Amino acid sequence: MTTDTREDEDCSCSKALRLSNGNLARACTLTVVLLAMAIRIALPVPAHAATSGSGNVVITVTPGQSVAVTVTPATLSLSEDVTSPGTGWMFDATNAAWMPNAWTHGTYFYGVSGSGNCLAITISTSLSNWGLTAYYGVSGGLTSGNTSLALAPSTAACGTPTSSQVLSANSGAQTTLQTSQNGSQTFYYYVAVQPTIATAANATITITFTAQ
Amino acid sequence: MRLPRFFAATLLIAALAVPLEQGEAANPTMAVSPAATSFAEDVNSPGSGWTFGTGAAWFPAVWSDNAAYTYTSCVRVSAANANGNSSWSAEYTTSPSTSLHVGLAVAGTASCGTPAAAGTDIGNSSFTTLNQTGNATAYYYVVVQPTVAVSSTVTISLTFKVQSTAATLAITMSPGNAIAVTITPSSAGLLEDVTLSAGNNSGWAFAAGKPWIPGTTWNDNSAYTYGTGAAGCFTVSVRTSVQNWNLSAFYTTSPTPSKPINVALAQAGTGSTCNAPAAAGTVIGSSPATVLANQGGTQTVDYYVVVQPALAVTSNVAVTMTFTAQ
Repeated sequence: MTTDTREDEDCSCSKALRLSNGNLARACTLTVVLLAMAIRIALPVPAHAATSGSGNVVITVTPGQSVAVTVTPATLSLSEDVTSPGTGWMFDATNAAWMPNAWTHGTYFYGVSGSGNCLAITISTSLSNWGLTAYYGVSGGLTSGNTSLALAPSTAACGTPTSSQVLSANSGAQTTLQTSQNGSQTFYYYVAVQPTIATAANATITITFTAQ
Repeated sequence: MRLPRFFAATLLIAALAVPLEQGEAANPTMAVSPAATSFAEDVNSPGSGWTFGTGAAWFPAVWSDNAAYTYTSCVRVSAANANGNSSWSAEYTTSPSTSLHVGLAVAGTASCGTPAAAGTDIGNSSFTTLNQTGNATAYYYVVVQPTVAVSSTVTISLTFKVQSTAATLAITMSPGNAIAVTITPSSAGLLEDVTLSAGNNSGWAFAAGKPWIPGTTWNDNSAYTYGTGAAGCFTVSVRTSVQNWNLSAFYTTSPTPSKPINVALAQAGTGSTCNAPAAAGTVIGSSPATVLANQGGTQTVDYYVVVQPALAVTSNVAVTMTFTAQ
């Protein structure tokens, strides 16, 4: 047997020796091919290649109380007494300029400028383009026929109003107080009450505010 | 000119027959086992013998990125006939060229254990001196940190050298899921109830005028926010070794409501931190909006999710947010 020290031009192993009969050259080539195949088979084949990654999160929004209206204070107490109507109340015999023009009688009103004594209506919502309406009802010693109500827009400091709106006593035809509002808001009002009779028994006046 | 075969064989036999001079060392040798390995740039399934991890003790300390792929089956490297004080060294090359880092961490001298110290950052086409010298055997963790997501297979040739002899480990890196995004929780039910009294609205709160509500962009100052409750923030975890990635988000609604449901994301911290954001959130829409830019490696980002329905929904509406890192 003889040995050839030249590089084998047929073999991928460039430094391999070849026997003179050339058999080793073929064997070397075969070995390299098998090795390459083995490496190729061993390669992990990704299901898919991705140069970015993504993830999802699902938020399911379900219906609930999407608007809440809070009135502060929730109750008031008025004595039909022109000299001492009660805390926060005053009797105006001549009707201030902000009161409804049509009202000719003296009026009790709740609201003291700078004192914080006025009605605060807070609407909590994320909704857009909502409006605020109100109406009132009377029970006990008075009726809606002999008792008028008005609300006069004020400020957070309960500043003196400049105008007012007469409230409807009809729940089906409520008085619109605000339009095209967005999100949470707070409105302040003076409350004017004008009974045209002297009540003989306690009466309850309920004002209902609706935001939608 | 070709020498006669008999003459060549005679010369070879004569050369082999010459004894070594006394004191003359044999040529040094270096062996690497295995000679080849492969992995996929896939953070979930890199392949047998490989793991993807973050902040491992054996990562080279000089790396600015905290995530990498590690060959934990060890590569065994041994040198023989080397001078006692000759240092080992290593370098790597890539073909085709790509951006990555390679580290070597000694995992043992007798067997493959777990490296106790940070590895050595290996040079690209530049030999870096290792701690081993002379005749020795060492088991290494090989750490590869691709800083881009490869789109085709890359061969990394890691060459060990002592004196003038060298041996090479061929590492084949194929494309995979180079970036993974996980969101926790993956779903959350929001009851559109400002009082939160009509049911369990865990994790959500309704509020007005909070600093993270994008009031300058939204004409409404009120919204529902996830993140203020005991459950904490929405957590977006991005796992990758890739550098300079951005995180974007968009959302869709189903069914489509008659008025929009606005969504914003306000970053509340990183890692396990979930603090009330001081700045207004980023409004996202139906097209991807960048919420985080120029990040590197694995990151966890915490968000307040701000949802502002502009209508009172009358039936369930699914808001699907998609986060993408790339």
